[in-house]
Amino acid sequence: MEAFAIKLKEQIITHLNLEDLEPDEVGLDDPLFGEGLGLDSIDALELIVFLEKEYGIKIENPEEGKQIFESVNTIAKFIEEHKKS
Amino acid sequence: MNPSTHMIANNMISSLGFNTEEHITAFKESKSGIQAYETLGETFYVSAINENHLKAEWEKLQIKKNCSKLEQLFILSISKTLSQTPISITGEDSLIIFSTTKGNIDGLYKKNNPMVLLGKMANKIRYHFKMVNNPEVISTACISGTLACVIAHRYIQSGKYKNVIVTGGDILSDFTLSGFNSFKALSSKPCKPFDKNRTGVNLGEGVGTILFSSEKQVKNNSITVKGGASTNDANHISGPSRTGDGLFYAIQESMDQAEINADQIGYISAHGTATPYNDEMEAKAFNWAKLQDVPLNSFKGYIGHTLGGAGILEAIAAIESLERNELYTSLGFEDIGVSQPINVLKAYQSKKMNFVLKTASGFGGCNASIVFHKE
Amino acid sequence: MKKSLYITQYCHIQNNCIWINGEPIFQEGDSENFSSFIKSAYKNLNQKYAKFHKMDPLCKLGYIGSEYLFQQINLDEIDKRKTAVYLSNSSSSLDTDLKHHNSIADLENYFPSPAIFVYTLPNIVIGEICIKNKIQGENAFYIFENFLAVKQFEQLEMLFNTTNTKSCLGGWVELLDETYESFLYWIDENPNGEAIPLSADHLEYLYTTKKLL
Repeated sequence: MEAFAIKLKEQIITHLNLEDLEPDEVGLDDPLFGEGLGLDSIDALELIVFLEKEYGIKIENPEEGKQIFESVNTIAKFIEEHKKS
Repeated sequence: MNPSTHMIANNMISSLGFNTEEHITAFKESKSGIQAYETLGETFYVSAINENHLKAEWEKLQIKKNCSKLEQLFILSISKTLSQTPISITGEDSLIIFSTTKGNIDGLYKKNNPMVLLGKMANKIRYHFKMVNNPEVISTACISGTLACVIAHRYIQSGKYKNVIVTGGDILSDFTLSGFNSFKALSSKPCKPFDKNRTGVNLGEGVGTILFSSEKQVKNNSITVKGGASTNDANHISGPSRTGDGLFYAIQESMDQAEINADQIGYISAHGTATPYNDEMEAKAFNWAKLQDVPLNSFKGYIGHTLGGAGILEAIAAIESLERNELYTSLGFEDIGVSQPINVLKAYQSKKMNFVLKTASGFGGCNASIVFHKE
Repeated sequence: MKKSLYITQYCHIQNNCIWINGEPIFQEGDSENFSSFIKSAYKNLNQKYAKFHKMDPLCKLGYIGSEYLFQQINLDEIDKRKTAVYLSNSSSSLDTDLKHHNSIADLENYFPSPAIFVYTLPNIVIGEICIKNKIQGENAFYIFENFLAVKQFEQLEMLFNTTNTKSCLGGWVELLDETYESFLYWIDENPNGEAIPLSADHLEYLYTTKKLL
């Protein structure tokens, strides 16, 4: 699980063009929005596209995203639970 | 004494028809042009121009040139506007300003198509009307149309040009539908500006044209522009300001230029896209400007959001309201859904007015506002 | 009476080089493409502005031009609500339009991206500059077939003479694929800096030759 979360973290940094960040600077439980990494509303929508493109998981209601996108770990958990086997 | 900016003639084209009168009739009857539309494997609610109607109107002009849909709409709208007046726009004293966000965006399906360049499209139309001056194209997101009217006013007021024709529009396209959809900004039902159950925008297509001149042509040209401004929120590229500051500054500046107070504004034609954040921001700005009691509507419930067309089509609707002393229902509105009190029109009413305000806001944090006056 | 206006500072970006008031101040001859050049120019500013990396190429070009230009101007001394941003180009946002178009053209591989779509409007570069510097005055993005000094002059003259504008960032920011050029200038009512009287001829001359004498 942790190995997956670390890979996911790198994917997110690339997908959201967070170039100034080194993966080591981002803790797996760090908040992604607000005071944490400072992601914004476009990043939230972009994460929805990312999940669909990379993992085939659709989020219809952007409100749902708020809980899912709390941290790298919460996203990893969500993907594990919804991945098509 | 600066010259005055008189509204001489106008034209509206959208799902509701090919002239202004057809639109006013629809507004009076609360008739919407928004319908279900299938594309990209989904159902969207949009306001689309009837293709057969466009074909018939275009054939009437007997133009041999090969023109895209948007070019046809521009030429039709400008021709219909000019046919109402003896003013000639071919001289050094006349300018044309276009307002569009995406122009011939459907032309992207053809590789290396020069007509997707907005300047080329504008010049093609300018040469069709044999105008000597270089055209201007304003592409400043959803405020483009309102800003085009403001800039036309400044050119006339400063004596630079005598006649300025502003024409604005965009077509419905998979390009914009898919983009707004990726923003989760589209409503899956007819839109409900300022309503508590609003869920987003309906896109629309249309073109509006206004001829402004420093010379009053006939006695019934009683509408003038009194002030206008644009501002930036300096906050976020897609999210509107949380406080409404940018829009408030634009409104305040246009009222200052018009030398009027909030209580002299008889009606507001708001932007009202029906997204949760936009409408909330507008309500805050209107309250800040002490305009909370002034009747207002959004025309998005009738013709959707026509992007580059919106600011001009809605300015014409506001001008016609002012001229006729009529206020049209804000279609789709039932219960107030913003945190500040505003006076959204639930029914048609008549009201004597001297000043009306038109506002717009858009991506990039831009806002624009214009004040029209009836003599 | 018409106001006297001055071009006080100006900045060119072209051919992997940045000039301020006609003097080259940053060069990266061996950059393979626009993207690596503009990133080096950003690094050379020594800022940490995460938003830069999210911008599309047109916004990066306009942003970097404005940041180098603003190194010459004390923005704390200006009234930001009376500062305008008036930009123009010929390709609008076509560079990013094509990216969005490619993401939707094939329904089998249909992934429109909000982070791309938001840049399919040319005025987003104005938004980016205003956000960074808290500028809140008049703003407009114009499209012309070519750089037209006469039109830019006409617009600036009208702007200063009919609105409350006291200073303005103006210019031409054009980018399509690997072809780019930026010519930004600062217009002021006071003859600061280079103090070149604003005229169509001066704009044309600076645009083509980069230096007055």
